[in-house]
Amino acid sequence: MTLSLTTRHTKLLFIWLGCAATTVLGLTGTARAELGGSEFSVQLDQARASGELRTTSYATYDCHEITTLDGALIREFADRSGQIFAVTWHAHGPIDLHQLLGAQYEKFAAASLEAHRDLHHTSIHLPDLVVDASVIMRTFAGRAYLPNALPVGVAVQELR
Amino acid sequence: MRPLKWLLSFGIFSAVTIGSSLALWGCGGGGGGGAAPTYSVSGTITGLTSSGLTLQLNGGNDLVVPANAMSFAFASMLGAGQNYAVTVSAQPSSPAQFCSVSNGSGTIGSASVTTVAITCATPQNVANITIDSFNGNSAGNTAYITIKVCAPGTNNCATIDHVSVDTGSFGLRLLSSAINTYNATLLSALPNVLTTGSLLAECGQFGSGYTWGSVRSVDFSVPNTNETVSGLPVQIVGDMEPAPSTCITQSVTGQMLGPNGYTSAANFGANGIIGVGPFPQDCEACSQTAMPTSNGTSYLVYTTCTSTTSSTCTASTATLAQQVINPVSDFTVDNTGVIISLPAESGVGTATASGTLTFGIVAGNSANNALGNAKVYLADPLSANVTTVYKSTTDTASFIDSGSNGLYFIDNSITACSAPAAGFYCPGGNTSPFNAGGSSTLTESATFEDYQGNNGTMVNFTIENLNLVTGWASSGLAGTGTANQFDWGMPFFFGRTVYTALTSQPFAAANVIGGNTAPFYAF
Repeated sequence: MTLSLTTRHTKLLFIWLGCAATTVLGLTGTARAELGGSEFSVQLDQARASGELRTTSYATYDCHEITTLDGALIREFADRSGQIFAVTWHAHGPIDLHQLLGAQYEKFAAASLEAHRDLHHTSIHLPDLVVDASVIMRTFAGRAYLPNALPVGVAVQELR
Repeated sequence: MRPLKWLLSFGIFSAVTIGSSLALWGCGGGGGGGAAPTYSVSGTITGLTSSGLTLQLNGGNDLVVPANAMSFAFASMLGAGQNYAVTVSAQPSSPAQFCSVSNGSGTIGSASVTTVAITCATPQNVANITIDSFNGNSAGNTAYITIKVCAPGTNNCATIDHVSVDTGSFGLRLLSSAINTYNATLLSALPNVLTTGSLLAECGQFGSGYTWGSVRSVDFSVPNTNETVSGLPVQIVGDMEPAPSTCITQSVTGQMLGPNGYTSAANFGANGIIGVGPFPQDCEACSQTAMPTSNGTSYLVYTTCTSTTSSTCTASTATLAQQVINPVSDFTVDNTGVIISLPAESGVGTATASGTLTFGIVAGNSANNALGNAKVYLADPLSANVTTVYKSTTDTASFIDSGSNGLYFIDNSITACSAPAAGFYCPGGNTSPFNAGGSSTLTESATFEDYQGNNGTMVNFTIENLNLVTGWASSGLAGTGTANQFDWGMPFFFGRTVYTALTSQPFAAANVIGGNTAPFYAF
């Protein structure tokens, strides 16, 4: 890891306040929890230990942040009942959206055919599912959330 | 006596007055700042063939010089002891030339200045950008140039228009169907790049799909410039359909695009993409490992194939020399970046617009690709990201991208467009006349900073209700982005000259321009 990468990660922790690290739960592997699923699945995949899971609690939700050695950063937002209502991702390579979106994936895939697209973006905005994905070569990023499942008082801007 | 004395006095007075005038005209000597302006500034012009050149004397006195002029002279006069400075306030624009001034400044002595020399040349590093509908194929706000590819060492070539200029990717990717349209015999003459005797192919990832096809070698050039690369590895998109299932499933939409996807101009929005972003290669890690990982999962980039059938392909490393590469980094000169200059646009937009793509970035002021007074924003060495502060939100993964047709950022306070334009912003609502709340246009601002959050500059921008955007070139296109990103897409380029400085080839000395280490942006 180069100095600049270290600097950058330090910066991320300070600035990405949406999910500041407070509790390091230990090593985990690929993020396996899925949008609409249970937060218990966040910890299911311990097989490929390549990152850290950190959890931060807010008034109405928990933010589980998984960073992997290959530079991926996944955040999963779970409400008090344990349901994951939003996910965000930022990585240097493709992110498996089948896994991250879970049962919502087929809805996204179908809608994406009709969605606004340009070379670097796909956005779908359905009443019950929003996905904004971008790929700038070397940077794969996006967010997905369930508008009807946001805890009361949570602004979408918080989900970063 | 009295009359005589009066006459005499008058006569003397007159003589002195006249004498003073003559003295000034005659030699102008030594008077300093009080001297009347009597000397002209003029000079010679060589090489000027187009119109639009405007010269200034001491920051004013605009002098518009016609095409083919061989001399110039300012009408305004200067006095002895005054300083003079001749500068170019507007370069010839139709067609583009670049003029420089020599012997252009000094102090007026005892004669008119006639030795200012203007030297003009037609730059050999500028491609014309066109923004248009491309027969309705454009996704809007797409900057196109024309490129030329040839079978290596031959005159078997195709000149291909409507190749999208993309600072968000690296390398040249051409639709096989477009090549066939321009030259039916070319594709079969383009040699495959080989790895251990097998064909190299690539799965390239983009935001709305993937590019799948062989890597081949071409002699590349940009028409009307000196920019050429012999044996450039490029991706031929759509020549080995269908794509491997891994390439399909790992793409953003996870679907086989097939005839509706990145195999036709209709969904590619272009005949090809020329990726001129801040890095040379699209996958440095691929020179070391066949399948890099992302979030712990391996993904496919380069493959080696024993035939032109995708099922014979297996994941493979590719040396840096074999990989699809940003052509600019392979230029002999002008290889430090690109400069995109576009005219100002309205939010509603216009049907077409034109600008320039200039190759190379150098320090100083004396070339058409010089940084000049542009402000530099250093970018993250690994990601080329910079920082944007928008409404108290700090987006640390921001960037400038000519391949994004809009500004993309998160702001839930702006009315979102409804389907089929969902994902864009529609200030003023989704019902005609789209001016709910009083306006269909929103003016916002953000602070553009370097990657360490310093050196900030306030940037204003407008968001136009998408329903009212009628042009293919619009400064008002904006939509929802993703967390921590502010994507300064094409609207940012209108009315600006934007520099994208690229890193050197891996493991080579860094590109440093005017003391600034690439990657960086400047505008």
